[in-house]
Amino acid sequence: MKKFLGLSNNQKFDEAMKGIENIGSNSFDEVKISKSIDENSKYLKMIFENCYDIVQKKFKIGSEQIDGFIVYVNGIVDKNFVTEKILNTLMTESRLTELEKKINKNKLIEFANKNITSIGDTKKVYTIQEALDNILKANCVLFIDGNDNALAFNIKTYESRDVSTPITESVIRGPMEGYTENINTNTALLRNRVKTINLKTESFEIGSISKTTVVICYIHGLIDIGILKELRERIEKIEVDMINDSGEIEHYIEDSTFSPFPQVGVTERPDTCAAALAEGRATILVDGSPFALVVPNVFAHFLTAPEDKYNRFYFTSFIRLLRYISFFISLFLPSLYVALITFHQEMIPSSLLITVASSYAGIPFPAVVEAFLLEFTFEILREAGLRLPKPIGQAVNIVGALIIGEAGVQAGLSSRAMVVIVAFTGITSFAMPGYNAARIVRVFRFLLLVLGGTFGLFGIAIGALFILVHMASLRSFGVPYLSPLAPIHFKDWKDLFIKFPSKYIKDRPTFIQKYNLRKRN
Amino acid sequence: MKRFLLFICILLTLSLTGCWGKKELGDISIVRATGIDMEPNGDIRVTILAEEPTGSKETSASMRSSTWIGSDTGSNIREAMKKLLSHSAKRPLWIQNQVIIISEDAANKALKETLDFFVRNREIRLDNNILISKARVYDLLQLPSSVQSNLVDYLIGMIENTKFWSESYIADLKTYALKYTDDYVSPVTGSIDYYNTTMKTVSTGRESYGMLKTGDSDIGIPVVEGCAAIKKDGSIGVLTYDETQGFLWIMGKVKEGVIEIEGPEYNGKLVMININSKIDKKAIINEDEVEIVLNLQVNGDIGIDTTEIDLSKDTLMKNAEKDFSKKIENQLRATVKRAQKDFKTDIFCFSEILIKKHPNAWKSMESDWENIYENLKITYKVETTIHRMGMLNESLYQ
Repeated sequence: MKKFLGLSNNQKFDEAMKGIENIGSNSFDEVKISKSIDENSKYLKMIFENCYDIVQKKFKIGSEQIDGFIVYVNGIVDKNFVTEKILNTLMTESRLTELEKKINKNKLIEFANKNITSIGDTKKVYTIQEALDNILKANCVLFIDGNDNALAFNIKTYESRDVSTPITESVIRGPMEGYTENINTNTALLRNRVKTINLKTESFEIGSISKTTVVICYIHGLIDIGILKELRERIEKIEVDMINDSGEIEHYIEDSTFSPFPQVGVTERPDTCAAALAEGRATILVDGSPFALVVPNVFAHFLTAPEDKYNRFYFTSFIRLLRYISFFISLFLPSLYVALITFHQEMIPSSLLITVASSYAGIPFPAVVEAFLLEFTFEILREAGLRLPKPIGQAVNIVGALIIGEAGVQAGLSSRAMVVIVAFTGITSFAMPGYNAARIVRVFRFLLLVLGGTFGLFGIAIGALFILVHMASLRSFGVPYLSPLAPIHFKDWKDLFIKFPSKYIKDRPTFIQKYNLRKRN
Repeated sequence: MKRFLLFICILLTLSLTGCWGKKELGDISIVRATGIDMEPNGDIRVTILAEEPTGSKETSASMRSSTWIGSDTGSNIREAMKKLLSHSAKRPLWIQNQVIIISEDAANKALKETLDFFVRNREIRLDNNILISKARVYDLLQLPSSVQSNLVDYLIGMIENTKFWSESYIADLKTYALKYTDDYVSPVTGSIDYYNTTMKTVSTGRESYGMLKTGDSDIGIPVVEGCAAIKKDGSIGVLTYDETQGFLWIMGKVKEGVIEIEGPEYNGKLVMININSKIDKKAIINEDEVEIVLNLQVNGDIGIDTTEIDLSKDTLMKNAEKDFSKKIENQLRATVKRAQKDFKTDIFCFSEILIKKHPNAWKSMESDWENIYENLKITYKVETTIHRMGMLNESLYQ
């Protein structure tokens, strides 16, 4: 560095340059923008040494030929704006005005801001640090000789996906738009659905390196102040260098880090977020992630699908009951089955027992070992198929499911009944809309299998009790995890196991906030 | 973290205990019927019918398991059962046992022991069906099953059928044992026997169908006939079908069933079906005498009508109803008489009425109940109503 450009004359700047090794520190806070444009240029060149994508373009302004330069990051600013609105206006169009002759050269930045350039979102910066921040946030910063401040133009353009159908939460009926990686698009999608001045979007900057924008959205007046305060505090407390996805934010703001149950909802649907906001919940959008977080999120929310609100209540109720049942099946079926056939044969009807028993004659493994092998195989297949490209993934699944299953039975390694049980359990685990909660069920299934295989129903009862006690002790931003079941909020049961017609659900959920309950006046 | 590790360690020690009470399906044979016989030398013979899965990949249920008939003797039931293990390939489990058959001999001499064993045994359910066999159970349980995949399914089917037949009654273990331990009443359950016949029930595949008539295949067929009650002296008395129906009237258990009347005034038969009955038992106490009043209400439909009378006429219908009532009353009388004079035990639970409704009077009767019962005066009030005539409103012959 020193070899290349040498030390500057500014002591403060030199000190700040030393601090550059300390990643994330704002060491240039103290360094004011110099009146000398050469100095500024030199500073920036030193700071952005070995940065291929930083563009510094020098030019002369107007007929007076005043020195100036702009700095921007190549690729994330709109080049049309740079050429048309900045370079063109300053270099050529300003000549026609002849105005700059009358004004003080030192106020040229101010003048350029107000009179020459026609860009809406501009900001004046006074220190090098501010200039740097703006450059990195896709602003184009203009320096003019003789001015001790610079002008940042927000002309961000950002290569991102178009708004498309959410992949993880597709619906048959309902909005088909999903969030993208661009936070501006995301907030726009949300604002488009919630057109009230009460929709607040507070932004935070997280990550010393990534400087990721994190926006919490809520409806002022609906959200519980305590929850909001807690949320702000938790987000402000995050100290990390890199945030790539909202999943990382989730880890920092959840109530219980060691609980296997997720306490934050995840969605990539603006309509789900909007509905959550209207219930008095908050949404966290993270730049670069199409997944928004929703808090507070109780367990019942994981069994609620976005479509529930749009379908008629009979069907919704039926499907929701089905989901609850399949949740219990996917959690307990293999362990219950193993417990019944190794410990409690008396609980199976005679004819069924004989059928099941006949499929066990000649099987070399105990039932619990067999269940373990099959469950492992299933999970491995699932994981293997997930990461592969789609066509190969399907092949893996077919080979796995059909060939291994059938061949295993033919070879006498596993019983038909167990294959049926494992396959059915596998399918039921897909019926839970909250994917992040459904995954934990798969882990618990193995634990319960051990308990069921060693202690029978007794073990399963103990296991279930542990899970329940743990769930009852959990909280999501102060809201008990099992509410409205425990503690009981009977009023909210209208939308728990079965859904009442929307006409008759007049109040917002009482377990989230208590102040503004009526949906209409 | 340390606490967490400690917790895991404690959890791991649990797995050291192994699996208590683990019974892998491949290692057990499922006992479905148990028979108790009395050997001439006073030993008890236990015969079991157990299903053992063969693991055959056949789709039909009958091919997927084989039935094991095991039998052994011992000075008591427990011993006989333990001895069974000496020639069993798998561990017999009684958890799915559904039928208990006791030979008359064994019922006479060792009923106490038998019931005690079954009720005490943790593996036996209280809803087991109890049957008393005239024949040796050892032979009975070796009959080939002609319809079902094995004899037990066949027996279970027969037991289920008795509910729609009303001429036999099969008690479950709980009721039977409760009545047996009651000092004043005597338990009743179905009586089973078998006949060597080619006539009664036949089930066969197409190939062997032609051979049935020609061959002298004496297939043994189990038959449930009437009810077995325990007489005063402990021996077994069997109620005929008719008497069983009489017994079931009094117990209020007649459902379905068939009653026929005929007579010169009808010049044909009149048969009632779809019977429903309701009984109201009362005791009237006049000074020293006890009188039991049986108020029986019967209703049903006409099932067969070959008479020449027009039943749509009210008076004629009333007459027919009265005749049905009379027929039923006779049935009741015959049954009660048999129980009072022949068995000399209270199979109708009359004592229960007295204990519940007249506790004070009962106290004086308690010691002398057996004599009082034998001479108990019983009043019968039977009322029959015919609801429907079936698809025909009048006899075909009119």
